Amino acid sequence: MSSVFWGIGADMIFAALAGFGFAYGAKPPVPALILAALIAAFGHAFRFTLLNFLGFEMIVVATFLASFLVGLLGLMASKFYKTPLEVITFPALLPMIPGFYAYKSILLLFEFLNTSDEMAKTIALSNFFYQLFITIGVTFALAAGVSTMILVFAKKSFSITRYSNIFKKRV
Amino acid sequence: MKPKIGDLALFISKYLAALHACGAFVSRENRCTQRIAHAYGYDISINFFFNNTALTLKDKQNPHIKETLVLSNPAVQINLAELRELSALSWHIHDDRPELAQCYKHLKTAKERNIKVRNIWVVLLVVGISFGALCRLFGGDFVAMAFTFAATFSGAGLRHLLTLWGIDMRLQYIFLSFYSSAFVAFLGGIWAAYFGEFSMHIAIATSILYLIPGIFFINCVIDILDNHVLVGFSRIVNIAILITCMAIGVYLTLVIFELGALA
Repeated sequence: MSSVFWGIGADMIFAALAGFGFAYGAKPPVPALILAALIAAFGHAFRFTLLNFLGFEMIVVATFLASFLVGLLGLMASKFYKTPLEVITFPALLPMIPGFYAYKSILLLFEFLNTSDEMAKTIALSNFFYQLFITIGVTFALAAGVSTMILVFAKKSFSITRYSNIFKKRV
Repeated sequence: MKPKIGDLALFISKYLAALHACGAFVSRENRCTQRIAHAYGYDISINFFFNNTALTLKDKQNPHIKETLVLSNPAVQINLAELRELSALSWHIHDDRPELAQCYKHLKTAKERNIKVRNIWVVLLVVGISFGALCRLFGGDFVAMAFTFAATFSGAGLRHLLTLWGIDMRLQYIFLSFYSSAFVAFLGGIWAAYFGEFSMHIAIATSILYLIPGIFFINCVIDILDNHVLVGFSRIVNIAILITCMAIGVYLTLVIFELGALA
């Protein structure tokens, strides 16, 4: 049991670090930077738990659910800090990008082009499409999960900055 | 006081350009500008294109009074702190209807306050550490994390230089993805020969991810889902070109270092 918690804890720490880096590049305000890292940790750990401990086999669906969770947490956090939803949620999603699947697709394409054996070619091509569709599926699931949140709660998500008083203070 | 239509159109065009430049998606640009126009008794229609934006402002009480402006979209440098302030500015205008001169002042403040000049070494360090952590999330070991850190640190530094020199973005993507992946493949190969195997493929895969235009991609999907299909697709095609450039760079590394199969 402790190895489960250790696994999830380690995943959260590394996801938070990755989320922090992605957020840092997008120049958010400092509180949003911290919130993005925290939400990245929860989002990634949720997907990690679904895939590794709850027997979830479809990474695309798990990513969509995790992205939806990131959107939900982001909505609460952005209401608290009075900032547009995307300022917190977009960087928080990026640690879930399917980078290794994309790389494997390129490797398999390379393998397909460099082998003369027909059987090996067929296997490489079939695996290439498998990896490619996972890459595309996960990428769209990431974007669709949070977009659903933004568009379903459109009124709320577009009016979060209304009473932020950023400019009233300066008049 | 209701501003003249030409003056308001000019302000909205500057506001829209600022919002676009800091990386807002089209729905937000549309809603924020509508909010400002409505606050002063005008209607606004906006056509969003990849390179240009055309807006037409119309007096609600006298629809014959119209003003159309076409503006070139500025280059996007994502700045979420500025985006937050610009969004708040649209609500401030909506609720309090300040004088246009005051609005210009706020717009200038929102821009100037959020010009973040950062120490490049700190940026590179943060990027390196975070992509090292990402390598771990993909299943890489500690040696792979160290190589990812070094490749990302130096690659991001080179990117900074190439941007300063005004090198075309697509060339940058090909060169940098080749550089970062080749860095890991070359030095990782030496390491593997002397100190033993490590998860080199994971390190190569992660070392180029600092180039991924992630926020742009999510923006495109939101644009498409919110019925701004034309501009969403044109932007997604642009992102697809950049990702293809990354793939070309990695492919070159695989060819040169003859890395064919996963360990």
